[in-house]
Amino acid sequence: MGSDSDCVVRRIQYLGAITKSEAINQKSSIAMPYIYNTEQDVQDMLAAIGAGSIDELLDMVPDQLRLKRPLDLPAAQGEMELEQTVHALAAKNRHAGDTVSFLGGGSYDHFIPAVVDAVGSRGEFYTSYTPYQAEVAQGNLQAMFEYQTLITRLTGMEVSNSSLYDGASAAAEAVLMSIATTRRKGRVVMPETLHPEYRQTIVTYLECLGVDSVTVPTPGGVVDADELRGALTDDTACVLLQHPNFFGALEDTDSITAVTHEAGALMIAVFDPISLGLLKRPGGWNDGDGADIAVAEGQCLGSGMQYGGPYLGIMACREKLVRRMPGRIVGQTVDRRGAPCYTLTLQTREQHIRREKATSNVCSNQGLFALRATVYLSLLGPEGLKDTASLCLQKSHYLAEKLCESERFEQAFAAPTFKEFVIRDRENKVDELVKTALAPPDGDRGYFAGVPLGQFYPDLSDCLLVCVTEKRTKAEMDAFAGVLLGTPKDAKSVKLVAAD
Amino acid sequence: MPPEQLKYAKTHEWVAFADGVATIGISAFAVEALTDLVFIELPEVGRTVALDESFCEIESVKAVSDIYAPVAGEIVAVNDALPDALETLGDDPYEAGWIVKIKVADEAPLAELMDHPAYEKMCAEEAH
Repeated sequence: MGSDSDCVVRRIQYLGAITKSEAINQKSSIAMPYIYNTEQDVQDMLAAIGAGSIDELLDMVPDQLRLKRPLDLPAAQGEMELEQTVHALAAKNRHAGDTVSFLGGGSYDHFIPAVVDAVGSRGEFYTSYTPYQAEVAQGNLQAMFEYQTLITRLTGMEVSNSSLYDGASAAAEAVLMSIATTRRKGRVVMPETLHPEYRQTIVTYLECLGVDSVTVPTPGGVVDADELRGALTDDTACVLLQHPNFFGALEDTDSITAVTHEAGALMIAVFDPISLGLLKRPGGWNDGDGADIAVAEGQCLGSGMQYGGPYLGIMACREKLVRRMPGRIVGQTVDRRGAPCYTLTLQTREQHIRREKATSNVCSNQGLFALRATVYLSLLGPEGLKDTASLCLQKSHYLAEKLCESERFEQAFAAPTFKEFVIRDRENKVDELVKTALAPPDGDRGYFAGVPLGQFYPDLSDCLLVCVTEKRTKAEMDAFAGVLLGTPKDAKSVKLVAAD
Repeated sequence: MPPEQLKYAKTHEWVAFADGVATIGISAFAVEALTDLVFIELPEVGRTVALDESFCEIESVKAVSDIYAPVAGEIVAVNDALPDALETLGDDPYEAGWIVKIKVADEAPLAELMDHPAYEKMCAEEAH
C-alpha cells in the first residue's frame, strides 16, 4: 500500500517536474490517474459500491462467458522498447514518401509547401475544438471566412460553407440539398464517370429516402448528353457531373448543364480544385448558366493523403440555395465599436433551430483542413494554381504518350484528359504490373503504378488509372515507363537523380 | 379585411374567402409568438397543395415554423413583396401581410375554421 502511494507521488513528480513534498500535496487532488488504478484504488471503489471483489462485481456475467485467464498480450514494454517496436511496424508501410506515386482516383500526391504545416500546426488552430464561439475564436472564424472567400473565387459560385467532411459526403449532401430544393423525390442521376465510391456514398444516403439513383452508362469514358437526356424525368432532382471525371477525362460541361436545366433538375459539379487553375469554373459552365452546387475533395489543397482521411469536403452553391446548404457558414460583421469581426451566420439552417426540418445533420466542419487549404491557396495565388495545373497536365500527357508508344499499352478512351488517364494493358496483366512496379527487379525504390479499374468496372479489368502530379519528374516517369515496359535500363539514371 | 371578419385555423393561419379564392396569412398573435423574423420561403405559383400540407416556412431567430394549408387547392398568387419586407407581417398582418391566394378545390374545410371570438379564446388559453 505504501509502495502504491509512493508510485503515485513519483509519477506526479515526474510529470510536473516538482519536488517530492509538492507532489505529496497534489496527490490528493488527482482523482483519475493516467496510469492503471492501484490496488488500493480498486479496493476503495469496491468498498464504495459494496462489492467484496472484482469477481463478485462481475458475477452477473454468466460463468461460461467469463475468460478466467489473463488476456493474451505480450509483456509490458518500457518507452524505449515500445518506440522501437512501433517504428519497426511502421517501417513495413509503403507510402508516397518512399515510393514514387502515380496513384489518383480522389487522393493525390501534390506538393505541400512547408508553410502549410507551419501555420496548420500552431496550437491555436491545431488543438481548438469546435472553435465557433465568436467571443473567443476570432482567429479561427476569420480563417474560415477567408477559406469561404477563396472557394467562391475558385469555383465562381456565390456562397461557400466552411467545409464538410470529405468529397464523397459533400456530393451526397449536395444531392439532399437538391431534393429539398426541387421537391423532386423521384430520382438522382449519376453518370458512371462519377467516382464509384461517391456513387456508393450517395446510394447509401438515398437508401432510406425512397429516392432512386440512376446510373447512366458511359462506354466512351465521358457522358453522352443525349443518353443523359433519356435518363431525366419530371421528378429528377439533380445530375452529378464530375469534371475532370473519374477517368481523368474532360466532360462536355456546357451541353450537360443545358440538358440538366432543361429538365428542371439541379446541376451538381464535382470538381478537382487543382484543375480550376486551367479549366472553366463550375459557376461559368454553359456561358454562365452554371452549376447550382459545386462540391470537391479538398485533400489536394495542402493536405497529405494520410491513408484516405481525414479529408476536406468543399461545397459552394448559388445564393438562392443558401438556406438549404448544410454545415457552418461564417459571416463578416462589425462589433459594437464598428470594427470588422466574424461570426457564424444563417444558423436557422441548422439543427438547433430547424431541428427535424434541417436538410442535413452535419453541424461541424473540417476546420484544420480548411485552414490548410486556405494557406495553400493563399500561397499559390491564381498564377501558382495555374502553374501547378499546367505542370500536372503537361507531365501527365508526357507519360501517357510515352506509355502508349509501346505495343502493349493504349489509352482506353479518346476524350482529352487533365492529370489522370486510363491505359489499357493489351496483355491484360494489370495486377502483375502493379506488383512489378512496387518492387522493380533491379532494386529501384518502386512505384505505385496506379489504380486498377477492375475493382470498380468489371469491363475495365485490363485498365489502370494513372495520375501524374506536378511532383513527378521526367526521370521518374521515364524510369516508371521502363519498368512497365520491361526495359528497366532507364531506371538506373533515375536512381541517381532520386539520390540527389 | 378586419380581423373580426376572418376565419382562423388552429395553426394560426387566417383565411379570407371570396369568389372561390382563399387569401391566407398568419395572425398577429402568431407573428408576435415567432419573435424576430428573418426569412420566409414562399411556395411557387401553380403548386397544388393538400389540406393541412405545409406550403411555406417562416424562420425567426428562435425557430422555423411551417404554414399549413387551411384549404386544398392551387396556389394562384404569392406575396412577392414579403421576403424583402418581413416587418409587414407584424405591421399589417391582415392586409398587406397576406402570404398566398389559393383557388379552393373543396369548400367544405372552410366550415371547420374558427370565427374570430373562438380564435381569440384559443389564443388566450395558449398564452397561459
